[in-house]
Parts: sequence; structure tokens; C-alpha cells
Amino acid sequence: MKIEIDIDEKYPDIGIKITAPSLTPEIEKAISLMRMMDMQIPVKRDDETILLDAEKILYIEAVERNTFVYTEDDTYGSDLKLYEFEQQFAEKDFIRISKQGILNLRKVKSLKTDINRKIRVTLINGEQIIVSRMYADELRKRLGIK
Amino acid sequence: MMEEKKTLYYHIGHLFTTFGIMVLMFVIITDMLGDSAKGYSTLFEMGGKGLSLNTLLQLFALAVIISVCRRVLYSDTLIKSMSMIARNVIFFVAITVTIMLFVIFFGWFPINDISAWIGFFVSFAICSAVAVVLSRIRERAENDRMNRALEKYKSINGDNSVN
Repeated sequence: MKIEIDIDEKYPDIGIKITAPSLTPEIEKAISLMRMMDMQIPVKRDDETILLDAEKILYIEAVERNTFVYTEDDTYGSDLKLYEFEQQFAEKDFIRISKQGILNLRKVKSLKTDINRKIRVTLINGEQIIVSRMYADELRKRLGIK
Repeated sequence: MMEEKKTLYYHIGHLFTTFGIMVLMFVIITDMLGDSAKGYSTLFEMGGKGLSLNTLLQLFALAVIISVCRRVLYSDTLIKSMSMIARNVIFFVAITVTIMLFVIFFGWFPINDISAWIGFFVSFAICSAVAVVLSRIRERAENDRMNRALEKYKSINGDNSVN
């Protein structure tokens, strides 16, 4: 693979150009990761790829090697792994809440202590998800109460 | 592995805390009423002199049962989905039945003494109600604290966030 970097003041903005004989899964993944820097995520629904604004995400869940992205109205699939979302969104409003999930804090309606030192999260659409004990303290720290 | 150790130490700690509180309560009762209760209850077989080894072992067995019930009912290891109210009810019924069996088998007080049974049930009900109310108050305070922190987080991070 050849990588060319051309830094010049003549360019008004950052641009990335990919040249390849065909679109491979590796290229799709690289594009997905670059899109995430702009807080847009390529997601799939019915074999159609859509660019989804990260702000619309309620939470992201990994189920048996598949990654699902949940919004208020829809569920999408993604080729990206959970840790890749976590790395890209670590400085944003997203937080790991279990081995299987990442939560958008801004989509949380309320928090409630649950059994076994877990936290029950009610999202703005009324859906409830659980923050595991392992990650509950991390959430408290993020909120500045630990 | 680290989490398992922490959990084990947590439960052992809870067991000895429960046992310690029970022993402390019985030491106080023994000091106040031990001599008058001698002959009436096996718990005070040494009168005001202290608690016997038998009594300490019985209290320890009760503490173990309380800790096991707590471990089973107040975690989702075995019972995945059950409301907190149902867990509380089952917990207090289980402990009540256990104490009743201890009363009968170890002769904590004469089983035909109706007033003793009434005293036991009334005092146990009051203690249980206080425990539930205190835990609810603590839970609500923690929930309020988390939700206030969440709102604060949203307002502070509003400009730097994805939304």
C-alpha cells in the first residue's frame, strides 16, 4: 500500500483521497474510522450504507461479533468493533458501560442504582439498559461524583 | 480474578460485620437482663457473666444464613430479574423462618410462650421496616446525586460534545 502525504498551504481544508482497483473491506473500515473523526459513522441497514451522525446514537452494543448501533427510531449494523468506537469517542460523550455496550451520556434521561452495585439507565426513548458493576464506578467518575 | 477476590472479601466482611453487630447487641442485653433471663432462654445460660460458646456458634450460624440469603437475593448471579420489593419480602420471610427454627431447636425461648413470640415478631417487624426505610432513603439520595451530576455534566459539556 502506498501512502502519500501532501502538506501545502494551498489546500483550504483537510482532504483524503483513496485510490484502489476495488473497494475492499479494509478500505471500508479505514473510511469508517476517518468518518468517525467527523463524528459520522457509516452504518448499514438492509444492505444500504448510511452516514449516521454520532449525536443521534443512543448506545452501541456488541452481540456475538456483530456491532449494533441504536438510535431513537432505528437499529443499524456496523463493521466497526466496539473498542474502535470506544477509542474514537473516548473524549466525547460516549462511555463504556459493559463488555458489550457503549452509552451516549447525552441521551440519558435518568440514572438509578440497581442491584449488585450496578446502575440502571433510562434513555430518552424510555428504553432501559444496565451499567455493569465493573463500569459503574467509571460512570460515577465521569459524572464527577467519585 | 481481581473482581472475584474483591467480591469474596466483601462477603466475608459482611458476614463478620453481621456477626459482630449481633454479638454486640447480645452482650448489651446480657449485661442488662442476663441474670433474669438465665433459665428462661438458652441464649443467656451463663446469666450476666457473658455469652456461652454455644450461643456464639448459634449467632455465627445465623450470621452465615443471613449472609447467604443476602448474597443470593441481593445479586443477580442466581436471580436475574426480580423487583427489589419482592427480594426484600423473600429475604425477611427467610430470616424470620430461620430465627423461628433456631428458637425451636436451640430453645432461645419457650415455644409455648405466646408473649415471647409476639415480642419477637413485633421487634423483628420494626427492625425490618427500619432497615428497608433506611436503605430506600440511601438509595434515593444516591439516585438524586447521580441525576444532579448527570444534568450538570450535560450543561457543562454542552458546547464540547457531539450534541
